Amino acid sequence: MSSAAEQSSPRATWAGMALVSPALLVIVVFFLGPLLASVVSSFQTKAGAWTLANFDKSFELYSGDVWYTAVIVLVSTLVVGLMSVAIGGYLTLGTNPRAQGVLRWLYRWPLFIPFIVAGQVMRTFLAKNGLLNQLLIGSGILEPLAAQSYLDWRGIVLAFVWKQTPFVALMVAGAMAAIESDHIEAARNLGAGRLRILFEIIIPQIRRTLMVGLVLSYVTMLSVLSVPMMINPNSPTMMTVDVAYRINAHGDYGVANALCLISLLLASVGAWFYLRHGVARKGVQ
Amino acid sequence: MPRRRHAVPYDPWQGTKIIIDPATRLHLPIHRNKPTGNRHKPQVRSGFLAVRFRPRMRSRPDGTVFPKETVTQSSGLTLDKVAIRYGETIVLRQIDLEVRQGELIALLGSSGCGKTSLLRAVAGFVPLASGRILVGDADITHLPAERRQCAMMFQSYALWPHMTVAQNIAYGLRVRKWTKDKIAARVDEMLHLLQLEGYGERSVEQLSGGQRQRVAMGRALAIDPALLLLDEPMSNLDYRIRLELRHEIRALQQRLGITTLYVTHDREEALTLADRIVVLNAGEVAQIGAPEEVFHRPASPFVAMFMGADNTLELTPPTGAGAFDRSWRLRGGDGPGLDLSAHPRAAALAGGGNIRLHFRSEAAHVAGTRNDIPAGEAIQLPGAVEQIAYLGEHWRCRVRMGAANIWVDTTTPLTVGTTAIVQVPVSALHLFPVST
Repeated sequence: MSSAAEQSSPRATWAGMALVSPALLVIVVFFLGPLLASVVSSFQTKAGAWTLANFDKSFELYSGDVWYTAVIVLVSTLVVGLMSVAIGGYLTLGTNPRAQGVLRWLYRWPLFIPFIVAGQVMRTFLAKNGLLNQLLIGSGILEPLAAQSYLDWRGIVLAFVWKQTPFVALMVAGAMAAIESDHIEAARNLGAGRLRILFEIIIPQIRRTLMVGLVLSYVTMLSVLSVPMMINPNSPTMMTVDVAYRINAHGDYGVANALCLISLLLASVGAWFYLRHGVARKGVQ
Repeated sequence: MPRRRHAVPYDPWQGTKIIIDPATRLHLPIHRNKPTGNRHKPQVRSGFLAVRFRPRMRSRPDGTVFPKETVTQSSGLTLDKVAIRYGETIVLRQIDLEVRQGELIALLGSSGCGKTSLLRAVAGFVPLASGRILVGDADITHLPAERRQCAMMFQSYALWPHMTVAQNIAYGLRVRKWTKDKIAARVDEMLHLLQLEGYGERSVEQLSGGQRQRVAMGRALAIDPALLLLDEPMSNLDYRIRLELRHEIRALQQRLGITTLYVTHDREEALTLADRIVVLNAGEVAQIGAPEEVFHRPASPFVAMFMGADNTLELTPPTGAGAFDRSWRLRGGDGPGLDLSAHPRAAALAGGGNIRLHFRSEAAHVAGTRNDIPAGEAIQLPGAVEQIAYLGEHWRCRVRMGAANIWVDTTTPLTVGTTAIVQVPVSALHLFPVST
């Protein structure tokens, strides 16, 4: 009897289900269940009646924060993409082995630092009397009176970029390293310079990896609470801070869940890209 | 006020003018502030930022499209004491080679002999430890790979999978900023030349191995290179396609008159394609010559073995004066003396020590299986048949004689265990002193 027939037998089906069920149970109980409860709760009053009031209130109070969040995360994702390509590009095409070695050694460090520590580091670095201003003043570039705090959207973007670039760069550099060196040499042989090779030969070949890295990074940044809380908890701020505030200060789970659902919709855009490219890749394979 | 560092980026090419050599069409930098003796030696730039400040490559001077029967302005190539080392390992030492304009040179050797390294050095991917590389009169030793105008065809073809066939072929032209119309015309010309009409919009991943090979060739030829460098271009193809393509490559190369270096480990390919063959062994040139010369007059035991004369026997010289005829004997054997007097090198070698003779299996035959060669024109080697293999058109038999084994081709199968007398024409023998 063929193995395919064996697999499709009822016994094999039950055995397969039994193997999958623990993982499935965990997903249903700890992920889908709470998610569904949260979504339902966002459409209910405290008394349990169906309503859109939570969304009205969310947009009335926090529409600015929704835009603030979206812009910060998109800008951060864009900068992360550029930095990752720059790092991966230099590791692949650079001509100075020593500089490549130093960069390869350094760029991964932030991967091992938690977001909250990254937030604290940035707070120390970007405050009005922080290390950045001291360096600028010390080097004569900035007058002491002109020093300003960067603990606003710029600080959050910087923290996100600092924290997330190594993750995407790791994926991108790996994908670039997997490209056959012949492909790069063939382009050089035909007269292409390094920047041209990066944009016309390498990036098109690793674009799926880059896209996946950016989508994962985008979703991660969307869900980070500690960084905006540490750097800029005042309005306008990111939605995660608002959610925490609604729950901790007001016990308002309805609005908090509505904000979470809006956040989920923002993340869904990334998920759509991820699945689209994932399916396309699977189709190619 | 602190001093700003690097306010103006350092540009080692500042004050450098690029000219196009009319003979070679190479893009050569001229350092205005340097003595003319150094004019063809550009400074090697490094660092990623340097790319921004690189003088732009010029497009083709007249921007015209080649007619179909055009002959490129190919140039000769000179390798002057070229040496390559990877760290402490010496890969190539003191390679001297003159390649005439329009000539096809095959670099032949076994794996690791340095033939691909030499090709990559000419392409600019491997720095020289010493020596010079000249195309025409222009010294390109220190020219970056992207400015050498040496089109290389890679063993893997290195076609870019995200581009179509036409985009692959057009890439070098886009880099040279040709107009879209001229690029399209040139791509059509290449597709026609390589019999790939109708394939322009296909993905390269949809092509067979032979078609990919043609696309890679088209991409290399489209830029009208001064030199064509082919790195084992047929090693990934099956035998039948290789047979077809080798003739096509040769015809195309002759038609375009393009100077070509062809790396291969396949002696048949080298013999078929090349004007001259350079046999490399352990980083050194073992022999340079026309295919017939290398095949029939190998300069060393290595070349003889590599060209198929892999039957070897060690002989002891005559033991006394006047006893030359039939006085060579197998070392350690008790067989009859061997008459080598008809060989032109025998007399010269007779006064020395032991010699090693080489011959091809197909040059020998077993006495009685076909017309015997007259005495004096062949050596007779009696032995026992140990093994037989059928090769299609003939049988190949292993015959043991003392401690030595030889392989001989026969048109009829022999019986294992029987005695056979192997005859080898003296003219098919290659003799070398054992010390070589």
